[in-house]
Amino acid sequence: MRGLAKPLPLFDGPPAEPPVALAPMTEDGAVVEDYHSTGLSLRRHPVAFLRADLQTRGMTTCAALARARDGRPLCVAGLVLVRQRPGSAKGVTFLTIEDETGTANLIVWPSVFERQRRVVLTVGMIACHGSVQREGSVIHVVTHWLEDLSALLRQVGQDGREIEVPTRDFR
Amino acid sequence: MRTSVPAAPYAELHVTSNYSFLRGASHVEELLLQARALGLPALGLTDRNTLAGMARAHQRAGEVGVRLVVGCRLDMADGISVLAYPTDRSAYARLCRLLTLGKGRAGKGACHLTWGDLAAHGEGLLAVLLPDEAGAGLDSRLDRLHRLRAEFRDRAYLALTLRRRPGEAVRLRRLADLARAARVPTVATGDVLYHVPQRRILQDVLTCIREGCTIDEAGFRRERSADRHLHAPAEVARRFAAYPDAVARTLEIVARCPFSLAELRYQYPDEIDDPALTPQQTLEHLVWENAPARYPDGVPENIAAQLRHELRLIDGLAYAPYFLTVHSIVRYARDAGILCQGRGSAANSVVCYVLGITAIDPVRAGLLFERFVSTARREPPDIDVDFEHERREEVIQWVYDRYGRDRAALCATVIRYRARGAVRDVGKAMGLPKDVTGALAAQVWGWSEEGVAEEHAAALGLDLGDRRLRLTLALARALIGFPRHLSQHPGGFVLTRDRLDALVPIEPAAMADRQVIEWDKDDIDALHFMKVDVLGLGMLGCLRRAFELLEAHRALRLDLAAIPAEDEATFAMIRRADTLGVFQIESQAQMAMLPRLAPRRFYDLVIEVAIVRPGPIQGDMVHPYLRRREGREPVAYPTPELERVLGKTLGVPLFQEQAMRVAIACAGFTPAEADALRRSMATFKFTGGVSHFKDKLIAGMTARGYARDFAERTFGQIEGFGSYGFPESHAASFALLAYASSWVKCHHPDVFCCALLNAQPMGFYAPAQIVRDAREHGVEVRPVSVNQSRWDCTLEEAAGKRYAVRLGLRMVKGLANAHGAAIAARRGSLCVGHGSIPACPSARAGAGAPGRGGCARLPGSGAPAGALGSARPRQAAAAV
Repeated sequence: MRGLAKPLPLFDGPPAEPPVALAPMTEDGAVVEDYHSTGLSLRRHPVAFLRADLQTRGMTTCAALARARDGRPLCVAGLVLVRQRPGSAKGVTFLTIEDETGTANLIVWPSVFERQRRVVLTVGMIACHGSVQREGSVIHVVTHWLEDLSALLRQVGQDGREIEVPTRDFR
Repeated sequence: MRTSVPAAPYAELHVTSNYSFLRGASHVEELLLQARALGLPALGLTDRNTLAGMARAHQRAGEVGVRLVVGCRLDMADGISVLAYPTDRSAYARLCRLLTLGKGRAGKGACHLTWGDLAAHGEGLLAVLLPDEAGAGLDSRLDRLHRLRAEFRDRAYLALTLRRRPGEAVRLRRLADLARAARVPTVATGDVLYHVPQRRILQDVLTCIREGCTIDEAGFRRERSADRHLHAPAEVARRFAAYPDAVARTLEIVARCPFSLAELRYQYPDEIDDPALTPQQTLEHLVWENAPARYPDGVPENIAAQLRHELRLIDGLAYAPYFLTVHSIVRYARDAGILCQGRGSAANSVVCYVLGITAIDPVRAGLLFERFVSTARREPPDIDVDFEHERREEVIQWVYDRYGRDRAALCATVIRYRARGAVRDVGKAMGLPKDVTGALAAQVWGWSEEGVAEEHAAALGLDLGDRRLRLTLALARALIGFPRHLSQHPGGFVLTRDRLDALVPIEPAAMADRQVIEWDKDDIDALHFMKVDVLGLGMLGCLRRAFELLEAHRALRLDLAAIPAEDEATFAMIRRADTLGVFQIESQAQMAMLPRLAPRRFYDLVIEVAIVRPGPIQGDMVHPYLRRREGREPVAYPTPELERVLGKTLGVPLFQEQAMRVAIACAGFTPAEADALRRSMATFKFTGGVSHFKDKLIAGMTARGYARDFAERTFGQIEGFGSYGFPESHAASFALLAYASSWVKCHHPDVFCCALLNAQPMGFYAPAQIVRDAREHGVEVRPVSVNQSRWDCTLEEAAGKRYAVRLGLRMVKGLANAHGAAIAARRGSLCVGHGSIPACPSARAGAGAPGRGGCARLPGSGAPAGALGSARPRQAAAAV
């Protein structure tokens, strides 16, 4: 072929490809993947990655509720596991939330529910500002108001996807 | 014919209710009440190709006092529409068979019929041709009229209906002339779609939902006439002043169609195993044959007396075939290795216990047979049997095979609009953006029947000044409760001796090999059909899996009856409220109660199941039983007979049976009266018929020497659980499952976790909490691994005394069972002769995981799969 100084190196064999060092998956990223693929993770609880942040906001853990005095005001945050509004309970809604230390049971009176329907009914991670109610060994948190923490939850894994927790609603 | 009121020579025979889904805009009740208010002597319900609303209309018509004419509008594939009214029982059977034929041909929710089908089933049916359907020119109308006349002779009519279009008078005159030429009489009809004019706007919205358009795009798809409501007879007579005969003929049709659903005589299948014996003899034979197995030390005399008592009652009511049916279903399930257990009031019957239908000895538990079968009630008993959820289909198919598809079908469940669906569909039809309707729907609970209130919309920042929004909310509320489609009841079978499709139309269900009648459970009850419930219970499936795992891994052969009774470690666990995943006592409310009630024996669990209502215990909800149990209130019995009845529950009546026993022992009620008392309490909110019993109870108790205020207090206590009373038998059946699952969890948490995960979805908690709980109990849980996992979760050898749970491929979202199984199967074939899967990603193996760690092992080789074991299930899913 005239005009070409030398043949193109089309058949010279594969070019040397420089090794690529892929960044390992971050742990919180892996947890997000776990939740998206199987609905659970054996690594760490998603809320564990937010603990430092929650602590600066003054939130206690679910496990710490066991040591809280009756009537003490506090806030506790977690993923919403169960929403329940039994017909026999005069319009009271019960929420169960979970963090890396355990679960907490929240009581939402109708007045709070009506003010915050959307948060109660749709949000996957909430913070409950309320006070402890003890009946023997049974502990509930009576909710004064609820905070939508789904934006915070989206920070886990840093890719903006929210972990979908399968919440179960019961009557 | 002439009636006493000259102004009312008209009955409305052309009425579409909302059982013509997304077409009729009124409930049958509304139509009937409006018909009465307008003075219509009769109402002919003619829904499209269905009798789904007929059973309900039949009941309501009796209450309202309006004569119901059974009918149906048949829309045929060749464009002909006819109103058909059966004149007698056999014509009704033919109509049912005709609809069954059309539905079977067209598949779920549709109906495909031709003129030929109608002609073949037309004997005894009055047929009213609807002449105004699309594409019907004059010639074809005349042609159709001749065919109608030839086929139906004096049972043929032509409908005259006002369309409110230009040239109406001319059109009616032409039709009347045609009819005369064909020697077919005319009849005036209203073609009613709703009971009052105000419903028109909802009807338009229904049209939009049906057509999948918005109200702005609907155009001529809307009904053009706004006049499709019920009219008073005088008004119809005025409108059809030129055709008085056509108006009067409506009453002629009413007179010719005296058929009513009350004529349906339901007959139970015979259940003859041995032709020499009657069903009653067969049942008695079975009972005495099986009794020694339940009472190996000889049948005690009180049991034998109870058996004779029950058999006598069963004989008197001719219910023996029903018991035989349930017995044969349960026997089949046992033989096939399917766990099952009777529940509900059937557990009050020793016959059911002896036949193995239930697992609780009612005599020992002091249960009351009259709660189950009562001569006064004269209504079929209801034996509900729970089967393993996943294998229930086998039982259902067996029932079809045994009784035949023409004699067995499932009840329907009428799926009705609830708040969320209503606001979504109406919002869409009104042209609201999807995010707005979605946000509105999120303001209510999924099951809500109250609708979205204005203030909920305001809370979303929406402008309530907007008319569309306000209309949407109002219309959505009106739509709640409308039937949307028919679905199948989870397991309620109707079985008949003769052809079922002569009683009610049958349609194929969405699931293959299933068929469903057009009526639901309540309709069946009201018409006194017998029903056999084949229900699915997830926990039975979980327990069967647990028993299989125990046998395979621990060489332990167990079943429900063989689980060690009254196990102290199990009760200690229950008292700690360490019951996540356990049947019934796993909810937060139950867990909150467990430490207080502190169960120590099986009967405590029965009480626990019964008294914990959903929702944690608030201060004012603490049960008097608990106060007595905790010693904060004295336990006292005014008389010994009361102590006998209430002794086991510390003097507080907890169960329906106890309420009945109190009435019998302390106030002299007969068992049948006591059952009537229980039933009136369950429904007293609606009927208010309880005061008669109150007087009788208090009078009876004071006459027997009780203080009046004590008698009133007793009545108050009994009245208290009208709304939430639990039959003790039911609580006992459930407590047995609660105990069995607790025992497995306590002694084999690894097995319990594995079985529970494989039985998902069920229960209160999601897999994440089940896994978390297992790990907190020291069970090692290993991640989904493309090299190790089977479809189900499995047990693997581990260091300690427990097995490790290997999560199965079933945990991976979006991975189909077939694909998961293919991964597991392919894995095996690749491994032959290699000992391990090649480390490099192999497309054939579906192992998309990057090749770190080439140490994957054979499944079942014991060791974990190293780095690969920590799994990237997503890639596994993606590789399929």
